[in-house]
Amino acid sequence: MRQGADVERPTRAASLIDAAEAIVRFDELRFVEVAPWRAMASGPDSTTGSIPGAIAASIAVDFSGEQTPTSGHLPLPPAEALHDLVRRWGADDGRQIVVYTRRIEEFSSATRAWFTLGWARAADALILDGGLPAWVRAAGPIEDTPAERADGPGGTPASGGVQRTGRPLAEPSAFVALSAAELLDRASWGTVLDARPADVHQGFVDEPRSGHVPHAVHAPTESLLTEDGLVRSDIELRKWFLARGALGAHDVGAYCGGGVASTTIVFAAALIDQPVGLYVDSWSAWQRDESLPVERGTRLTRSNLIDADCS
Amino acid sequence: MSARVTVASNIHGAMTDVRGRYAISGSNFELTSDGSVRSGGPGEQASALDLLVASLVSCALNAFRQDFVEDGQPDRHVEIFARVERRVDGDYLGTLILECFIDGVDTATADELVAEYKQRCRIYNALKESLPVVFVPHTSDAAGR
Repeated sequence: MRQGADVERPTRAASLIDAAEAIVRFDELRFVEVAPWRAMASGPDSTTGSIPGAIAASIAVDFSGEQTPTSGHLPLPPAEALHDLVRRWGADDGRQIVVYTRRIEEFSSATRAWFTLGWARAADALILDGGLPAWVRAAGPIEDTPAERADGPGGTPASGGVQRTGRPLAEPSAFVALSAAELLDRASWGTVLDARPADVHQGFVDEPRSGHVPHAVHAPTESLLTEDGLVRSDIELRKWFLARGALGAHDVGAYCGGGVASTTIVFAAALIDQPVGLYVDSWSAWQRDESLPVERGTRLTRSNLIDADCS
Repeated sequence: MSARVTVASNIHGAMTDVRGRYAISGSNFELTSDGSVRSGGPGEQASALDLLVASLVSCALNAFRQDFVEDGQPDRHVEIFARVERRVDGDYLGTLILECFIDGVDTATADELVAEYKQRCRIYNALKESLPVVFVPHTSDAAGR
């Protein structure tokens, strides 16, 4: 039903790879272990070592740019920096990039890496479904040494917009970064999803700038994954987005605190061909801008710009 | 055809203490419906359009639950998500999209269920010219990763 069939959008097969297939295709893939910008899992890591040859990367160093007075705390880096990064990883050898995290609680770091690489048109990355724990359960090889960064000199510059595998990158419209004005417009005319915890979405009586974007739907991302950290089936994802009014021909946006958790919403939506724009600056920027409206409470409100009257 | 008349539905509508909020009741039920904020109502409870959509959803749930189910077999489990899409500047009602999740049927059976519903549902047939309805069935054989 969606328009724009000529735009190549990410699909499940083009964006998500399960551990069993990744093990079979090991020699065709380049694994990148993405560390989160803050601790997201409690307790010790049950796995020592990493996927053999995996490259270490981090949200804070590689997938975020410098903060500005008006940005959120994890703005996008310059696109050129992502192209340089992919070159340092050896992108010209034809292997497809697979990003993953060590802990299932850190999945949003993989989706942030996926989004950032796609937005910059630097790479069509796959995400390893279930991360390192799924790899271990599938008896994938593990080497004792940790993943290392690839900070050496770059290789041959990649040709514009095409990975050496010969597959064209998804069109930029599949990875949309929204401004505050664009997010507010989507909240008024479409649907905006807020991935933050319930208490911060609701807001606090004694904090005037706490709450959410007006008309935003509370949409924590934990229910997009199974208990094993695997992405839910297309049918389950479809129901998730339908239940939140976030599937259809209208404009949909997503945000969180710093533009990481909400990338999981964007990724899950892409698997079922539903474009969702990402407000990267997210609440960390919105809250600081006194000109932007804030709504509190748990009751979902409707924009009165939309004429839903029958007469 | 007999000239005798019967009453198929009996509804009472009344104001409430809240401006633009109405109590809609039948013999054994009561609903609350709001006028939109644009029209001076609270815009929180079911709108008139919501209730119209709900009627088609209710009828479709009932049809898909039991149509073509053989005697002695259990009813199907059905879940429907409905939305009305309309151009932002449109002055028409819109297009109703019914995403129907029907357990235990294949695509061919789902298509038969939709065809049967379109043929039999009096509400659908009364509205279809002014409110186009698009069915999007999701079935067992199309489900999964």
